[in-house]
Amino acid sequence: METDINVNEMGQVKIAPEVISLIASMAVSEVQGVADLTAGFTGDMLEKVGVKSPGKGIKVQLGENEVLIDVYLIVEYGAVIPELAKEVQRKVKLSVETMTGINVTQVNVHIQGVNFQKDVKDEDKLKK
Amino acid sequence: MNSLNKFVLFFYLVVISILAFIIGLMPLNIISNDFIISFVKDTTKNLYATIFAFIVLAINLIIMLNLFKKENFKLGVSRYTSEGELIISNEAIKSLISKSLSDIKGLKEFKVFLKPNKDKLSVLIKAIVFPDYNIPNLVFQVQTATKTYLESIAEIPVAEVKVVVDEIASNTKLRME
Repeated sequence: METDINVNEMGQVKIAPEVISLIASMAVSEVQGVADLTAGFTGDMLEKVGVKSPGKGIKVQLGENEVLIDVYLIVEYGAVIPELAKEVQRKVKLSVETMTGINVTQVNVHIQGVNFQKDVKDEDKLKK
Repeated sequence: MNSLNKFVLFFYLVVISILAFIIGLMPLNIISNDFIISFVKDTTKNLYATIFAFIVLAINLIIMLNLFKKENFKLGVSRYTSEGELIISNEAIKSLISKSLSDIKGLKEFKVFLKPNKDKLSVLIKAIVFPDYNIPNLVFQVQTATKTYLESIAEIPVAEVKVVVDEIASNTKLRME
């Protein structure tokens, strides 16, 4: 299902949910402290066989001229989660609204896990 | 996986195990060929075999659907902000607690259990500790580390941190010969 964002004498502009999830995904990746977006079981299986999903970890629910976005992510160890979530919400809302003109009603952030790998690497470097 | 799914999977595995056992015995001539042939002939005429086959098929479908069913992402601690909802999964909270406890000396192993209350989180930690450590001190350290870390990093209000010392790890292993 696509959403109409502008209807005028020239015609309609329709935006697919995949575009919104891609914009949101790019906005999330800019936030410091986000390790990765989670694709879920099916998405992970597809990724393993080489099928790339650009909007993984983003669920878009389109209304008439509004959108609700769910973001599923893994955070880096040490990040202050509420601050990170606020930044994710702010960036996603700003990016989607600026680029598409669709009103973002809610950005729900789901923290699915914590990534310790970076922390372990830093400790290893210090030991060396 | 809920208890019904566990039961279905268990039943399915029992059926598969029996079939594998029978197939394994066939080349060893423990089950005679005549018996197998007569069993197959009887089965083709028996309506119960069809019912049984359909039950196994249904179980297969249930298991496959469960594999691809979306996980319950809502399981965890949630809070509302002006921009939307923030949900921190139980797995993420457990990882944070494990990391905060990893620096405490005296803990050999531990398991973390979470029980979300109305507006606060209760944590239960079952631990195996090394000997020669003062247990009340150790428990206090565990409680403080857990509460402080969760409240500062994730801003999750912690109601209580219960620590159960399950066992004392022994330094030496005795061998009876």
